Formats: sequence, C-alpha cells, structure tokens
Amino acid sequence: MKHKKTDIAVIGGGPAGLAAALKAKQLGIKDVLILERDIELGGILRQCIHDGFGLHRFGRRMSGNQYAQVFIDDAERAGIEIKTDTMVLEVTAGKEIYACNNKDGMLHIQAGAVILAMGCRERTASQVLIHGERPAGVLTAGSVQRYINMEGYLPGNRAVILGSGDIGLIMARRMTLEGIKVEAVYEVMPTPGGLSRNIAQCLDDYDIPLRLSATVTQVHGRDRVEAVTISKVDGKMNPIPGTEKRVECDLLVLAVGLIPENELSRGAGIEIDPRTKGPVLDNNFMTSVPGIFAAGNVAVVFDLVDYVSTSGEIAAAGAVEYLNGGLAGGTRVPVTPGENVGLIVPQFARAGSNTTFFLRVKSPEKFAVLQAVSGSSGAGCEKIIFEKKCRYAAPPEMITFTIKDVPARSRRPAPPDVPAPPDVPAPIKVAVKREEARE
Amino acid sequence: MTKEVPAPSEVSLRETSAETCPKAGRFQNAPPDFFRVQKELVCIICPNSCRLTVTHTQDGTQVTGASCKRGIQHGIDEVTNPMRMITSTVAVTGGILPRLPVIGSGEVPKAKLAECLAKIYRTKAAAPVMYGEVIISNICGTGVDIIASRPIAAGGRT
Repeated sequence: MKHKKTDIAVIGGGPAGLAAALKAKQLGIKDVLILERDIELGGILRQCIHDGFGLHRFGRRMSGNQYAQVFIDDAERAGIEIKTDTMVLEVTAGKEIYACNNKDGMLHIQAGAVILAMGCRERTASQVLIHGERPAGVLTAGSVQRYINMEGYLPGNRAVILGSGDIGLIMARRMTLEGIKVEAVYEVMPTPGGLSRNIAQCLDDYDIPLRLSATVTQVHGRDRVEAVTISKVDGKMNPIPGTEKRVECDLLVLAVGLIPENELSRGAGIEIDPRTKGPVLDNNFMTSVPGIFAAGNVAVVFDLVDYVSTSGEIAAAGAVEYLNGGLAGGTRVPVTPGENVGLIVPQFARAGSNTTFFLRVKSPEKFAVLQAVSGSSGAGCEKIIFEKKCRYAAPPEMITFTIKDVPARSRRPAPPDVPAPPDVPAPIKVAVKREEARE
Repeated sequence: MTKEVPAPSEVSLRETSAETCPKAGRFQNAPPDFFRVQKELVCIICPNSCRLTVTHTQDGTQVTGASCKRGIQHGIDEVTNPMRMITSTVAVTGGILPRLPVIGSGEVPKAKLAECLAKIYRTKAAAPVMYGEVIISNICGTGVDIIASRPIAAGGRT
C-alpha cells in the first residue's frame, strides 16, 4: 500500500470539491489533493448541458459544463493535485483516507484536514414503493440525462415522468427536444416541486401536462415497460381507489428526490442530521469530527450550484483555519428550525462569528419575513437578531443569509418581576412568517 | 447578445392601427381599450420566477411584477418576439465521449428553435474539440454561434 501525506484532502471533484480545493489553495495551503471517482472532474455538471447556472456568481447564464470548466481550468492552473478514477473506500476520524485506483493500487493518505464533497444520489423506484413487474425502462432522471447528454442513447420513445422537481422538469424538455414523447409529469404533492420558471420554460413551452396530486401505482410489462397505472391521491397522499388510469409508455422517469451520499461520513462516525440527511455542521461547515468538513450536496441538497460553490469555500476557509490552529474553543450556539422552516444549515454557529445560513421553507409564502430569534433560559428575554424580507419564499428555492457577530444568548434584560437568566448559551430559532402588515 | 427587439409602441401600433390592417374599418367605433391584451407570465430569466403581467395597448407595452430590468425586457419580448437559449449536443467522433454539449452564444427566436435543432442534429464534430470552439457559426441566419461548452479530448471511446 502506498502512503501519502497532504494538508487538505477533498473527496469529490464536483462543484463543491473544486471550489473548496481552489479556495484552500488561494488561502496559501501548499498540498491540496482532490480524489475523484469519475475519469474527469466536474461531477454532475458534466451531464447538465442546459443553461441557467452561474447567475449569482458570474452574472450570466452558463450551461453546467461551462460553469464546471471555469473551476476545472482554475484548479489545473493552481497546481492542485488531482487523482481521477480513484475510489475512496474509507475515511477515519483520524483523517486517514483509504482509496484505490489502477495506477497507485491501494492508497493510504494522512490528511491534515478532510473536506467531504461526495454530492448526493437519486431516490430509486424501490424507495418510492412502486409495485409491479421489474421491466427495463424504469430509470432515474439523472440516468436518463447521462444516457442522452453524454452517452448518446435514447432510452425510450414515450415517457412518463414521476416527480415535478427541477430535474424532472428539465428532463421533460430535454426528452421532448430529443424526440421522446413526454405524456405527462405526475406529482404526488398538490404543488409543483420545481421552480416556476422551469414549469414555464420546460413544460408550458412544449405543452407537456403537469398532473398534481397523482402518482404511479403500478408498472406494467415483463421485459420492457408497456404502461403505468396512475392514481389520484388524497390529502394524505394515499391513492384513491377507482381513480386508476392506464397510460401507455415505454419509459418511466423517476425524479423523486435526492439524498446526500454519506456512507463515508457515517464510517468516520460523523453525526448526521435527520432533516438534511447530511452531517451536523458548524459555521465553518465542520462536522462533529474535528478537522473533517463537508460541502455541497453531501451536506444538504442545494438547488443552485452557486450556493454549492459558496459552501465549498466556507468549508475550505474553515479547514485552513483548523490547520492553523484557529478553530479551538468558541461557544457553540445551536440553530433550530422554527415556523415554516424545513431545514437549516449550519446547525451550529460559534458565538462571535459571522455565519452564512442556507434554509428551505416548508410551504410557499408571499411577502414573507425571515426572523432569527436569539433565545435565553429566562422568560421574555428572546430577541430578534436578524430579519430579512423575502418577496416570495417557496420550498424549491433555498434562502441564504448571513448573521454577523452571532450572540451566545439574548442580551435583552429580563422583565422586572423575573430573575435575570443565567449566562448560558441558548439556541437561535429561525422562522419564516407572513409579513404582519400583509396579513 | 445579438437580438433586435422592436420598440414596444411600434409593434402594438403596427399590428393594430387602421393604416396597416385591411379589416381595421370595422374597429373604428371600438371602445378605447379594445386592443388591450393582457398576459400573465412567469419570468424565466432567473430562479426568482417573478410573476409578470404584460399589458399590451395602443399606447405601448407595460410590464408589472418584474424585479429587474431584464425581467421587463423579457415580458416585452414574450409578446413581441419570444427568444430562447439553445442547448443540445452534437455527435463527436474520436473522442473520450460520443456527444459534445453545445450552447448558443445568445438566444434565438423561439419560432426558429426547431429549425436550429435540426441543423445541430445533422452536425458532426471530430475530437479533439476545444472549450468555446465554434461548432456552427450563424446558425440558420440568426446571428447566433453554436459553441462547445466543454473540451473533448481525443482517444478512448468513439
């Protein structure tokens, strides 16, 4: 087994890993190593040929490939060591990495800090309980995207898409342009999962119907998909008997959600948040294991690649500070989701830090106001420490904001008849409500 | 960007005035807001997905609900000359991958999308391809170039 030492090892060469490695290099770290299992860098962006990337970061509409290329060129120029076609097998809490590839054989790498950037995976048919036969032609949207955009195969002629998240919508347009007839997009929820702009430009432009509160309840066909049964669902998402409808198709495309890929993180004993399904993080995107950081979709599923890059840079800055011994101490203040907040990262912020948060709401709200309230063990001492107006808040669109100088607890004095609370850290609660004036 | 958008007032007047429309005589006694067209759109410029209301009258086109200048322009374009970005792939021979992703250097008229795609599907490139290389210049007379959105090295698979 080959042994190797590096200052910072980045696992995954997608947008998060690339941004993290570049930032670490810019901050003066000598040895930065990227381990990537594909034959080239870029991650999922390599199959994202559509545009709409980079609006925040570069101020222009780029395709996924173009966005990736900027970072790949920079990484190669910056002198970052890159090992592609390399599979990481294990990460330990001591920041040791076991990996293998055809050139080096088995590799043992001792890193000063590790940045996890493995991304996420798609939910599969068995995870959404689709019953019936198991014929060919049931594919996840990402697989269809790879077949069409990179491998040059058309995986079917008539498609049904289950799931109206952005990936499902983008694939509806892509398949239509490639000559596949898209019968409809079905969504089990009463509201669409993806951005409104994608419904406009991917479905409405091509007259593809969107059927809400409906799902696939059976797949027909022995060797190849011949049809699917669609049922309407009630308010509890249970199929309503008697509403079954047979839709002929030879391809069922599943766009039913993404799950952060944390097998390596679990192996290292890193604590996982059941809401985000990613590691519990602090303001430096450091996990519960000191010196191991997480960035991008392995931490939480982001919707914009621009935010993925930002998270990589936060993690890299944290890793550099860790290597320089600057991350010891500091009070950890828990940050918890309040009213209409589905998830929030990071889950902890160090007192006195400037912390950038990423949050997803549970249900859409017009003219919403985001409020962070610093708590206290004493009654009546809570204090609003941050407020932001959002013209339109919706689950597919993450909200990002920065709280400066995070307080360990509210400093608001207790009411006269209540004893002053002890000086202990108290959680910050973040909520998204309708603006009071608009009620 | 190589697109020309006619001034909104020009368009509404040209399309609806008595001088150019042979059947305009019958509209002479029409009420003042007879030519008013109102359209609800979702802006596709950025993920904010602003809800636009485009009002098209004899006096011009008005867009409300947009939170930026580009959104206002998009609203006007959608009722006068809708434009779309083209992204697709072309076949590539002798490279590490069989398909080369491409993107337009600007938007093309929505009405020309199918024609442009047909042209793209007939095109073949040979590896190596450089990032940003022009694969088809001035596609279908739109003034838009189709460019490679990634490099493809020679070798490996075909």
